[in-house]
Amino acid sequence: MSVLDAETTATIRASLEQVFVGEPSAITDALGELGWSEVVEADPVTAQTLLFGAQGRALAASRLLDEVALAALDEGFTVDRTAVAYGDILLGAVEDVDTIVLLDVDRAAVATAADAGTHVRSSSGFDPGGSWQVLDRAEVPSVPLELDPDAVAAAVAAVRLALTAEIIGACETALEMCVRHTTAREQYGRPLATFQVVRHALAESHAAVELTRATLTGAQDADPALAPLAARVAKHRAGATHALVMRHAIQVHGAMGLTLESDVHRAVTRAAALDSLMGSHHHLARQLGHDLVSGAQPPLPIVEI
Amino acid sequence: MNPSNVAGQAADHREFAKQLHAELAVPTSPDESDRYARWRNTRYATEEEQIAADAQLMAELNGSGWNRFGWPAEVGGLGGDVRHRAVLYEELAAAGLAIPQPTLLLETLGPPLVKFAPALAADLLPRALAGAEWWGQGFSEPEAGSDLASLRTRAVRDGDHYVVSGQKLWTSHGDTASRYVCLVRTGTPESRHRGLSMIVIDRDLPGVTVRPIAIASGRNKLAEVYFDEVRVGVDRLVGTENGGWAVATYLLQFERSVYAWQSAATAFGRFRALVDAAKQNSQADGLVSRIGALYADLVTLRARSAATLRRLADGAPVGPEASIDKIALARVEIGLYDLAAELHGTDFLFGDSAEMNEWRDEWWYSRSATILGGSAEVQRTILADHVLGLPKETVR
Repeated sequence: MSVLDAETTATIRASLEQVFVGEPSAITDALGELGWSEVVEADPVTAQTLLFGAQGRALAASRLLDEVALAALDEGFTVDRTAVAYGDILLGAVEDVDTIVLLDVDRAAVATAADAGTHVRSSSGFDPGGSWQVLDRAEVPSVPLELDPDAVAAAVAAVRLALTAEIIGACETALEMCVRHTTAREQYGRPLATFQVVRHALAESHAAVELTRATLTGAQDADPALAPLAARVAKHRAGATHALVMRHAIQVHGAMGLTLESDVHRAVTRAAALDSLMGSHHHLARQLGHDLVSGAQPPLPIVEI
Repeated sequence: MNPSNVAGQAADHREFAKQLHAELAVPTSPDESDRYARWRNTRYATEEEQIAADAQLMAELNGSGWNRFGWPAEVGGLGGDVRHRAVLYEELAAAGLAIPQPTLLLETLGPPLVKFAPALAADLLPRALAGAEWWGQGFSEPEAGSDLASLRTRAVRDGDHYVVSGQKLWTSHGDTASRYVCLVRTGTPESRHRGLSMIVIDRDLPGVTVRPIAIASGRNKLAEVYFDEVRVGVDRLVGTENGGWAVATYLLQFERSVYAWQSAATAFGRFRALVDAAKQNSQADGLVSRIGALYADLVTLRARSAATLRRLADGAPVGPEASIDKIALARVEIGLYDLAAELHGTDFLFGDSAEMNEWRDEWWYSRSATILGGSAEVQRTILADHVLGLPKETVR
C-alpha cells in the first residue's frame, strides 16, 4: 500500500521523466534537484517502483540497480566505489570503482576491480544501447562474502523487484509506440488500429502490463518471509509480459519494427536484457515448478486481501 | 460457534478472517464434532445434488451469522464490505468446503439489487443468503450472445405489471433457480442498449418454462428459460425503465472481479491437488515449467483481484478495467485444467474414478471462462475501446 496518494504519485512520475533525458552521470544530480530523498523517506517502496518504472520507460541505462543490490546486502558497500556483477553481467564500465560484488541467486562474492579490469569487455550484442559489460568470471579471483543465505536471498529479491518495475516501464513505452503507430498508420483506407486482430493484440499487451503491475504490488506487500518467492513470481511475470508485448510490438509496426527506422527495437532489446538478469522468465518458471513438485515450496497464495 | 465481537470484525476484515479460519478448521479435540464434516471435500454426482448441498451449507453459515458479513444491515447483513465476502470464499475453499454455487450469482446480482432496488434487496437477499433460494441471470438469448444489446425478450407495461415474452439461454443454475434477474427490452426494437430494463422474474409465475442444458460432461450447468406473456409486478424492476444498461454495467464490475476472486480461491485448491498428483511420478521438464508458470498465473490473478476488490470496497468505480481481471481468470482456468488433462494423460481420457470424472467435468466447465460474462474477444474489445482509446473497429 502506498502512502503517497494518486495525485502525488502522478506528479512524481511526470517529474522523473526529466531525470532520464540526460546522461547517466547526471541522474544523481537530477534526483537531488527533484528532492528525491524526501520521496524515498516518505515511501521507499513506491519510490523505487516509480524510479525504475521511469528508467524503464526512458529505456535508459544507469547503475541505479547497483544501489538497490548494495543497500539490500547491507555490508557497507557504496555505489561510488563498488559495482555489481549480476551473474557475469555488469551495468556499466568499472574504471571508477575499486570493488566488484559478484551476485548470484544463492551466494555473493567480492573481487577487486584491478583483478577484474582486463577480464571485462563491453558488449555490443543484442542491446547495443545498453552499456552492458561482460565479466569473464572464471579468470577473476574472488572471495566469498560470508553472508547469511537469507541476506543474499533478500538482495536478489530486491533486485528482481526493481527489474520488474523497469521491465513494466519498457513495456509501457513499447505499447505507447504501438498505439501511436497503429492509430496513425493507414492501410486499406483505415488506421491499422481499427483491425480487430491489431486491437486485440494491444489489449492483451495492456492487460499483461497491468497484471504485472498488480503482481509487483502484491509482492511488495507480501509477508517479508515470502519476499524471495514473491519476487521470483513477479520477475517471471515481468519477463513473460515482455515476451508477449514485444512480439506484438514488432508485428504491429510491420517492417519498421525490425529496422532502425523506428525506436521499437530499443524497447525490444532493453527488455530482453533485463529479463535475462537474475533469472529469465523461463528459468524462473522451471525453478518455481521444480520447487513445487519436489515439495521444497508449498503453493502459497502470497497475496492476502 | 457464532462470531464474537461482530462490530470489530465488521470493521476489520483481517480480524474476521482470523475468527472464521478458526471456526472452519477441523476440530483437533476428539470430543468436539466437526460441524462442517458433511460438506468437507464432498462432491455430488449431479449438479442438482451439489447445489442443494451447497445451499444447506449456506443455511448453516447464515444461521450462525458467518456469511452475513460484507452485506449491509438493510438486507440482513452484519456490515463490512466486499473484502469480508472475499475472505469467506477463500476460507471456505481453504477448509475443503466448496464455495457454494449459489454465491457465484449472488455476488453478481446482489450488489446491483442493493444499489438499484433497495426494497427488493431487503426482501430477497436475506433468503438468498440463508440458502433458501438462489437466482439465475437472464442475459443471453438465442440471437443475443456477445451482442447483448440486440436482445429481444419484450416487456410491455400494462398497468402495474409488465408482460414479458421471449427466451433466455445459457442461464447458469437456471433449472434449480427460484428467480431470474433478466435484462428485457422495454424500448423500441432498434433502441439497442438504451431501451433495456432489468427486472426480477419469479420462476413459479404462470408462463415461465425451463429446460436444463447439459454441458459436454453431462452436468446440467445451464438452462434455457421461456417467458410466455408472464405478468411481472412493476415493483420487480431493478433501477428505472429503460435504465437497465446502467444496472448491467454496474453488475459486470462484480461479475468480472468478485467471480475472479472466487475462481482463484477454487483454482488454488485444485492446483494443490494437481501438484500432489505431479509429485507421484517424475514429470517432463516442460510440464514442470508449466506448473511453475501456472502458479505464477494464480498469484497474478489473486494480486489483481485483491487490488480490484479493495477498489470496490473503497467505493471506487472499476469500470472497463475489470476486463483485465476476466482475462487473468480465463488464463488460469484454461491453463489449470489443460495441465490437469495432460498430467493425468490416458487416465483423464479413459479412467473411471470419481476423481477423473471431476477433472473432466471441470475441464469442460473451464472452457466457459473465455465465453460467459463476455467472451475473451469481447473483453479485448472493451480494453481497446475504453481503456486504450483506439479508433473504433469499422465494419467493411
